[in-house]
Parts: sequence; structure tokens; C-alpha cells
Amino acid sequence: MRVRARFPLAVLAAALLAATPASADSASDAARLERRLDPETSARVMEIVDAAREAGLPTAPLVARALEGASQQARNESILVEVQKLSAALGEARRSLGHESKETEIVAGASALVAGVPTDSLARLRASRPAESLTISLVVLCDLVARGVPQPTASGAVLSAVRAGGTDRDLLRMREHVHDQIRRGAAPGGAAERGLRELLGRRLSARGPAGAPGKERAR
Amino acid sequence: MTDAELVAEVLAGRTRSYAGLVERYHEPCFRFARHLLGNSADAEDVVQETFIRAYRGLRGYRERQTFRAWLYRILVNRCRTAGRRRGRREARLVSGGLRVDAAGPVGGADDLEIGSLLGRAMEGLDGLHREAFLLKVGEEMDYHEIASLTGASVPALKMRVKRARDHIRARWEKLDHA
Amino acid sequence: MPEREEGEWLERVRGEYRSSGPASDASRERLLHRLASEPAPARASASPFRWLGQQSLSVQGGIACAALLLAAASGIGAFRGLDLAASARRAALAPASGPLAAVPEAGTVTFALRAPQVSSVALVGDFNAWDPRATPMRRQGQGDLWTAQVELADGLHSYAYVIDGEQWQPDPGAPLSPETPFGLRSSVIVVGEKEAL
Repeated sequence: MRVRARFPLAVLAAALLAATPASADSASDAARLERRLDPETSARVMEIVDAAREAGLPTAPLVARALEGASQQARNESILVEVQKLSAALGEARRSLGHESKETEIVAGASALVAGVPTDSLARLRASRPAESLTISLVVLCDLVARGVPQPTASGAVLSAVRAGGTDRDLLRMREHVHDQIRRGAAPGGAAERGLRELLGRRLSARGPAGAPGKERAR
Repeated sequence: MTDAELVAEVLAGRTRSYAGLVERYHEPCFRFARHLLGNSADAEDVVQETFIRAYRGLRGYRERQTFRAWLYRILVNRCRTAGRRRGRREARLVSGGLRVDAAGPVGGADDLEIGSLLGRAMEGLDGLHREAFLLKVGEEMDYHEIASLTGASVPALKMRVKRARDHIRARWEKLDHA
Repeated sequence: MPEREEGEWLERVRGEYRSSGPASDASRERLLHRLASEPAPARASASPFRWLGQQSLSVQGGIACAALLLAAASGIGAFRGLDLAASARRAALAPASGPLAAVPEAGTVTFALRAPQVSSVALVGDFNAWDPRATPMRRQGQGDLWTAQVELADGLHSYAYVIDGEQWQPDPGAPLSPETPFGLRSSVIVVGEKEAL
């Protein structure tokens, strides 16, 4: 047995393996973090990022969150907590929206979950729109919640809008309408309810009288 | 960071540190106010006022008292004011034949108090008794702390807690087995 | 044992107390939002909720101190008055055109903000590592319109504006992010959802 000959090869092989990064992405993520965070925090963030990558979850939002924290001079502990929270929310969002969901849907869904929207609401949205993107519906939902619409009202409004066949354009318009009302002093909950009614009203008139193929109103 | 450290940070000009105190105390304050006042909308208003007043008056905080006690004192006072305002309104409020009363108005879609066993068991209890019970049992404060923020004596508080407990327990049993 | 039973009942009560009812997150966000326009406690000229910027504020001097005492005594109005310029400026921020929420395809996106009486505006977001030095905005002529152009790939992007190097400002009119991970809120823009736009 030529042990001596083999040993150097094994060492070389091991060294080569160690030198190869898991993926180009991982290395560039690490580099970006190390430019802005201390080595220990970078390393701990990378652990979370790598675990997410292993699980097939989007990693860019996690790196972005850490960099956002760095820009705001947040404490290292806070940065780690927030990155971990987001990672968990991404996983939950994917479970609720379905593994086939787009990255943007999962990211928007994660935001909604962190903001207190229950996983149930996400699942119901998916059930109402199995084949089309929910990204904008979720972004609108997040916006309503951010503006002070109580979460159950916001979830209810977006879900009803989607179930009524509201398009992404309809939803964006509803969002603006609600925002305008709130800016003018309306209570957020009521504004959302009125925004929904307006959307439903427009959907109904676009469909036309029962039985007749309605003409789509020019928007 | 401790509460006192966060307060010092805010007063030194790093006003963002106040968010740390909000993070810590918003939910317990909201929970307390909601149970005391019976609905989320009033609770939100009161808690907002409380944190804003606390922020504006932060220089008045002295470390010999815990920040929580100092904050809750403001909260309790705001709740009392809100309760008085609401009491005057409610005398006139009748909603579709259902009396809207202090413990838990049958509210709109956003109001989730209806199902709460504790909320219903507290119906009929006046503000001072609720206050004492919620601070002692809910917030788990000790009697001295409660005394410092309500202005009542410890014996008086013990009596209020006991009476509140009896009232709640009796109704609870009935509601629980309904 | 009545005592043990009492103890158990109290535990149930506590459990109910803690768990029943809606989450307070949205309410807390509204509070933080409201606090963002409060002047710092007992300091006349300090901006609230700064982002970057001085850790310590310079002492204003005798006159300012007297004004502060007066303000403290008389309540809200005086505080607001002392910080009027900053409030007025914040109120005047407006989207330059219709709200930017979604862009059908990846490519160059122009961000625009109307911000009167400011000296600098920077665009920060996940596309430039939230670095305020990366994308300074340019003032159009002598007016109050500031713009910047960035290349955005498909996806969901978060961003905000940094005014005068220290005031963090989400995009008025654009969809808001519901999260405030480090105490401050950003806006969201969706790029590449071609289907329904």
C-alpha cells in the first residue's frame, strides 16, 4: 500500500474542496456583508443566509435586510434578530402560498406575515388565485396594514377584491383610493371598506347586466 | 439596554432609542387598556396618548421609580380620563336594541372582544376595581407598585382586588359552563 | 384544594388576558409613525427620529433654554412652533407625479420626489445596499423636484429617501412596507409583473 503517495493527494483534494465556495452567490453575499459589518456579525448573517439558500428560499432579501441595518447603524444583535425573523417569515410564506410560488410572492408574503397578517389569509388568497401572481395583491395588503387599516379589515378587503375578479390594476387603484381618503382624514378601516366597495362597484359595472357580456369600461 | 439606559439615550439626543421602549411596552399597555376600556379603538387612542405624553415628559422620569411604573401611571390616568369621557357618551348609546356597555361593546368587524371570557366576566365591574384586578393579576405588579401608580393605599387595593376577583369568578363559572 | 384550584383559575385568567384579542402591531406602527413627527423631548431645534446625523446636539444657549421652559409649561403649540420649518418641509413632500408602485419590466426606473427647501436627497434601497452615498439625487433646475435613475432587475424592491443626510423618508404615495425592522419604514416597488399592468 503506497500510503505515502495517497496522503498528499488526499490533502490536496481536501484543500481544493475547501477553497471552492459553495456558489458564486454565496461568496458575493459574504463580500458585500463584510464591507459593511464586522466579521463576526457577517459570519452569523451568512449562516442564516446559507441555511435559507439550502432550503431554496430567496436570499437577496436577507442580505439586503442586514445591509439596511448596517446603514441605520443598528446594533449587531438587532440585525441578526431581524434577518432571522425575515428568514423564518420567508419559510412560512412559502408554506402558506405554496412551494410553486414566485420569489416576489414569497417576499411580499413574508412582509405581510411579519406585519401580523395570519398565514391563513395568505392561504386563502392563494386559493382564490391559484394560477396568477399574488405579488401585487400582497403588496397592496401590506400597504393597507402599514397605513393603519386593522389587519383583519385589510386582509378581508384584499381577499374580497381578488375573489371578485379584481385585477392587479384594480388593486393598485384601490390602494390609491384608500390612501387618498386617509390623507384627507378618514379612519383607515372605513377607508379600506369604501375602497373595496368602489372596486366591487366598478367590477360589477364592467361585467354589465346579467346575461349580457358587459363592455369593459375604459380605465 | 435597560429602560433607564434607553431613557438616557433619548434625552441625550438619540431619540430613536424611544422606539426600544415602545417595543417593550406597547403590547402590555395596549392589552391592559383594551381590557380596562373594553375595546381596541379606545385602547389605541389611550396608549398613543400615553406614549406621546411619556415622550414629551421624559425629563420628568426619575430612576427611583421603575420606568414601567412611571409609564403605567400615565396610562392609568389616560384610561380614567377616557373612561369618564366614554361614560358620558354611552348613557346615550343604544345600538339596534343592544345596549353598548362598558365591558365589551358589540362592535364592528374589527372588534374581537366579544368572545373574550375575561371581558364578559368583567362586565359590571367599575373602573377602579378593574384597574386593580388587571394590574395585580394581569400585569402581575406588586401592591406597592400599584399603590404608587394609582394613588390608593395597599389595604384599599387588596380589598378592590378581592372584590373584583369574586365578581369575575362568579360570572366566569357561569359563562364557562354556558 | 381550593387554594390550588384558585391558583389554576388565576392562571387561566392570566392566559386569557395575555392571549385574547387582536395583535397590537399595527397600532404600534401607527404610534411610531406619529412619534416620528414629535420634536425631541425638551429640545427646541432637534429633528425627531433622525437617521444618520449628529449623535449629540449642540447646546443652544440661554434664549433657547428660556423658550424651552416656556414650551414645557404651555404644552403642544409652543413645541410645534419651534419646529415649524421642519414640519412644513415634511408636509410639503409629495410624489412628483402619479405614485410609483409597479413597473412592468426590468430596466431603468426614474425616481422623483418633490422636496422643497432641502439641500440634498439621496435614494437608498436594496439595489444600492442602502448606501446614501451611492445614489445622490439631482435637483431639476431651481425648483423642488429631485430625480435619480437606477437600473432595477425584476423583483420586489424596497427603498426610501434620505433628506439632508439625516432624515429618512419613505416615498409619499408609493406602497409602504408594513415592517419597520430598525425603526424606520420604507417604500416598495414591484418590477416585472407584466401580466396585469
